[in-house]
Amino acid sequence: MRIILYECKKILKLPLLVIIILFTLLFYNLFMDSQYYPNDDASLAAGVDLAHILMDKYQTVLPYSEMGILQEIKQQQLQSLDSLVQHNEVLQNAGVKDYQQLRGMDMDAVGKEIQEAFWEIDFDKGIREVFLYQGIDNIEEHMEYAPFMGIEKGREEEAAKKICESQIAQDGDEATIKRVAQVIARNEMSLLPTGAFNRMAEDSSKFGVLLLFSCLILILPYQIRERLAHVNPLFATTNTGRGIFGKRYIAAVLSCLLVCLLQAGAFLSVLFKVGILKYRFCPASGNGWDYLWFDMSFGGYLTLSISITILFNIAIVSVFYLISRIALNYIVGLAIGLPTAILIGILYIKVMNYFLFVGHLRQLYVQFGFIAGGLLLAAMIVVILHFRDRKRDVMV
Amino acid sequence: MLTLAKVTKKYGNHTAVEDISINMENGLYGMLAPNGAGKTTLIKMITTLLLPTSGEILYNGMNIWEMGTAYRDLVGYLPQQFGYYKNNTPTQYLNYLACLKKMPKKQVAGRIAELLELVGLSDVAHKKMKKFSGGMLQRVGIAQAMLNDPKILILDEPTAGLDPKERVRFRNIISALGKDRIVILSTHIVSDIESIANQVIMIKNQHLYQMDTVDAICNMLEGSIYELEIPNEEFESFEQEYQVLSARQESGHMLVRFYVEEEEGIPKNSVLCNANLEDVFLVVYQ
Repeated sequence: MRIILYECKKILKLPLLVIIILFTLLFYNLFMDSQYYPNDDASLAAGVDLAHILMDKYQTVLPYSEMGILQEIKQQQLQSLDSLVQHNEVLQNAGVKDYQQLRGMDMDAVGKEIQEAFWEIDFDKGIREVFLYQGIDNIEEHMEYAPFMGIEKGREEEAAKKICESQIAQDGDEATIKRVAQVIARNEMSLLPTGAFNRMAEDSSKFGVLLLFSCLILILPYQIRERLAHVNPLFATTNTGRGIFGKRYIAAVLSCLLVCLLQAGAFLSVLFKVGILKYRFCPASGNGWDYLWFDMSFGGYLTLSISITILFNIAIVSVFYLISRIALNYIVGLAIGLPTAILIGILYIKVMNYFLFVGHLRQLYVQFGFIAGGLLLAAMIVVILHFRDRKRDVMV
Repeated sequence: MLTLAKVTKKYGNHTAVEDISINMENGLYGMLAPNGAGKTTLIKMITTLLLPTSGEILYNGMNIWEMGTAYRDLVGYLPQQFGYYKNNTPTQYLNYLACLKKMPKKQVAGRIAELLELVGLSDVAHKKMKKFSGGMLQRVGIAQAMLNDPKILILDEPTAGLDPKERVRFRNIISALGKDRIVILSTHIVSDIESIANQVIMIKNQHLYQMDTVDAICNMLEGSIYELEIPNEEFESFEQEYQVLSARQESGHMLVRFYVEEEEGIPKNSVLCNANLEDVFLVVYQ
């Protein structure tokens, strides 16, 4: 244990940790969207508003029987917008009485002053109300051609097919249709805003890439440094030094696990700061047409997604460990390690984007296969290296 | 007692050492052979870095591979290429190695201080090793090999790259260590072992050529080493006829030390000399 702690200290060098912090900041700014949520998109903000209004009353789900509340909220927004119209001198002079009348006007045919007054209401003073109004409009519109609740018993599959055709996959397979039918039969709508769900699902796969490079930054210099120090023959003649490679691997895994957990903490802090964590108890199905293959809460999905990402990255540590064991020096290590990390990263984003989201069944198999493949590869590397290191001639 | 019984090491078709049998008790053993003769292979087998292809190595009658960690607890090793962490101080590095050697925590600090004192590095105990000279690093190497107070101390080419002053210093340290343990000093530098080795092990063509005291080994060439003064211009033809061991330019002529196998071939005026270990080395490994 003392040796493993020594090795962990050697891995977790301050300059490397600083590099990881800087890389993380850069990565968040360049690639992660969650940190801007929901302010990067006004329609998202409206979704959040709607969710908050409903969560105050219904906590996590809106029952179908309570759908009427959407109309009430819509009316409230309309009243606010009417009031804005009525307080606008230009619109009053032009004879516009309410928002719906304004909305119905052909803006190309009116004067510049009316156009400006319209934009002022739609994109500035009444933007929150407009988006909230439109958000509810969208739900109602979708409910008309692809209802996702309030379906007559026995007609769920038909409705599911409709949803699949319009929202999920044009040629929704049987399993997908069955799963959607199962979800919509519940006759309630999760109050988790679709925008928050999507943002999180996209960022989770990017988070995997962040972990991948963090582990690479930790492992590669450590293992190559050990090799270049030419200490292995000396260590192998000592009592415990014979098993030094195994101990180094354990230390590498533990150090990477620590960094991954810290990264997960940082990721969750961002999600907390922007308010996404508020929906952790809502069912992970969005308030629209995002369904998961398995029933779970948004918090459960978040935990599962982050845990799988960490597990996969810990498995990939063995790939980096192998590279650093065979690389002759830093240049070779980087020349092999960097493209490998980029390749795995691209694959990870490609495969793990929208983890567990209902779509083609094949996608689910690919996701599970990818994770299982990573774990299997790691296990193979560990076993091969273990037997190689156990050979009585010390390979140095 | 450390016993090598018919030890052979092969790498595919290449034989590194063959059929070597040696018995070693406490004392300093100089392993003498030119580069590539198999010294390092033999040492790696004694340190359990390599497994003999055939034969066995026994410590007090027990196979060292079967002893495993119990044997490694008895071994101190300074490899030919002493690896260290440049940013470590000797104290940090020795602490780490003490941990690898599973030394009890309480003993470590005292033992490190004692050893750094022994090798004359107490004043730089907390300085980073990247600033150390080759000699200082080798002394750290000795200290680490001695950490666990080994019963078998193995030093592989420890003086390579050291200046004469450092080599003398190093020799003195080694000499003091051989009293109550087996010290195996592998080298191709004759002067390293000539004055301190109790026994010399000579390896030639992957086989054990000779193992004896320095005097006994030198006596092998008794009556075969001569010195002669010759004019400078005759040196080239002389060199073709005799095995010249050394030649020194003196005022107007050369003083040549040479080896003759048979008495009939000795040039006139040659002076018979006592053979030294260097002569033996040059004759044996010609």
